[in-house]
Amino acid sequence: MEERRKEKGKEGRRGKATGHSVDKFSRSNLPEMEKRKLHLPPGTALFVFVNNTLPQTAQLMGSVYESYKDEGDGFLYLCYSSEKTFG
Amino acid sequence: MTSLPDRGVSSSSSDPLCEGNIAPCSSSSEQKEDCSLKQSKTSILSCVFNSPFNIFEAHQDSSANKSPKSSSGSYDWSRVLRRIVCSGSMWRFLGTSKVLTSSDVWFLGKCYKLSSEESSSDSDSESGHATFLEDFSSRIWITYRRGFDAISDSKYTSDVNWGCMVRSSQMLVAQALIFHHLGRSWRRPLEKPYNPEYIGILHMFGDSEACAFSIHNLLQAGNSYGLAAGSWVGPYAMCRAWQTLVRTNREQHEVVDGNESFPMALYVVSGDEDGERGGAPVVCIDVAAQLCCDFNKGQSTWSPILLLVPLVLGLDKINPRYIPLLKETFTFPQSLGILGGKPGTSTYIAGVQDDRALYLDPHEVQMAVDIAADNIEADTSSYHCSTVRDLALDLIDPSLAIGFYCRDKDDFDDFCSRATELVDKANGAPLFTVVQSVQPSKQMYNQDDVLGISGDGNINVEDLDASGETGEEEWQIL
Repeated sequence: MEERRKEKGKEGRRGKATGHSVDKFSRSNLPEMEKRKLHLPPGTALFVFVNNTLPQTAQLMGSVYESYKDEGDGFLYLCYSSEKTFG
Repeated sequence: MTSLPDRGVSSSSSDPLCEGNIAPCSSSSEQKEDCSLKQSKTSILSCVFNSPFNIFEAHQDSSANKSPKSSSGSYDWSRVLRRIVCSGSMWRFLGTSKVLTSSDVWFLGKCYKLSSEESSSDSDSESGHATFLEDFSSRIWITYRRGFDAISDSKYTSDVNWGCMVRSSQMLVAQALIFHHLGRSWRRPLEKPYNPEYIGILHMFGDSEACAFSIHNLLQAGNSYGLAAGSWVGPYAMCRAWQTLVRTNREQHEVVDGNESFPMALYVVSGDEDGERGGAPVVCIDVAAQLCCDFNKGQSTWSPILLLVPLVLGLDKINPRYIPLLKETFTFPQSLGILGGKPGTSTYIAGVQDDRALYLDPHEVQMAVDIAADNIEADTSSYHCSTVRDLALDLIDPSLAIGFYCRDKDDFDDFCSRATELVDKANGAPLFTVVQSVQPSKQMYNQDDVLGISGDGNINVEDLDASGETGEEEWQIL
């Protein structure tokens, strides 16, 4: 049951919680991510996706988890993305 | 990408590439759809189609009738198409093409009703098209240029093949300045002398360090966000570069002459520099008020404000649920359009029709021109384009930035109420949200009662044994 609360990312930048996060943070807003931990240099964009949409910053983790947890494995999958460039 | 010769550029330093031409792109855009990724970013196809189809015969500069140099023999097929275009009624051709259908066009907050092609002789219909095209071609068009002074220490005297995001952002900010100084209903006059405000705006976007918002100065200001001559850049970094440049200019001008170079507050709607939550951006009314207050040097009155909202709306491609919301932003009277386009190809998207974006394309190469700040007789034709280009909204890259200009407090309030309505239509996934004030981050630990949260009865309290862990350890990168 512990695993269901892991968070996992894809798209090159992966994030995971060490279990318990959704319980502990269920009344918290989305966690503040530090760019250096995602190997993003300062000054780059950071966007977090749940179910391929941007979660509302004021949403509580508990409700995000309940809405979007994976039905199969109980994980809440978060994806992190920076931005594309144009020329 | 291969670097192509600067096709479509005449030796004239003010080549009116698109002047007076309309929408032969109805076919070119289709072509581009198929092969744009393989094509050079200099939009050779669009140049090919820049032969002078004069819709506004009476309004033409004589220069618009020059033959373009781009119709080389290798593009004979284009002449066939051109003949097709020329032989039929232009309106009928447009009406059956995908560039302009009979549906309503929303263009920078203004709606144009275009009738169907059957009524091509109908004066109302034509005026619908004509008034739209007059509006479209009055927007400031900023493109790749070559032949300018080298950018700082680099050897770059041209931004061909790398400057499109910078150019797109210049177009958006130029529109903000046009709206501010001249109003949304301003149209480019048919005759000189021009408005001093209009010339003054064009001067600011000239290609030299002496011009406030030149590519030279933007790259320098955006250095810490990865902007550099020759490098591609994303919309978020571009917005931050503008923020830095405007701040720097403001400080310098206060020291030098006390004048404002940028006549409005600038709000880049995004999180902090280092730590961000990364969700949908939040327009905070208190932050906007503070920025206006700072702009007014401490007086607590409102000021005009430019909002830039950088976004990423999907991982690999744009999530289609955002498209109706993006379209709706063009109905806001505050709309300044969008920086973005197909992957790798930034444009200035200024309008929408059906499921297609209408844009101004920076991927044309023109010679740099110097428009003196007070030269109201200047040739400004290279800063306008009558060629309406389009692309399917679902093909745009998820990385983009939306702009809004709010003239005063009432206008800002109107923007906020429209944005809030749009949140309600978003079915849980808005582009951005509006709040009154910044809430301190909620980091409450649920030591006792996770079941108190409605709907979370499935969370197992027994696993709550790690309360000693710090927040940092809770969020590891896989």
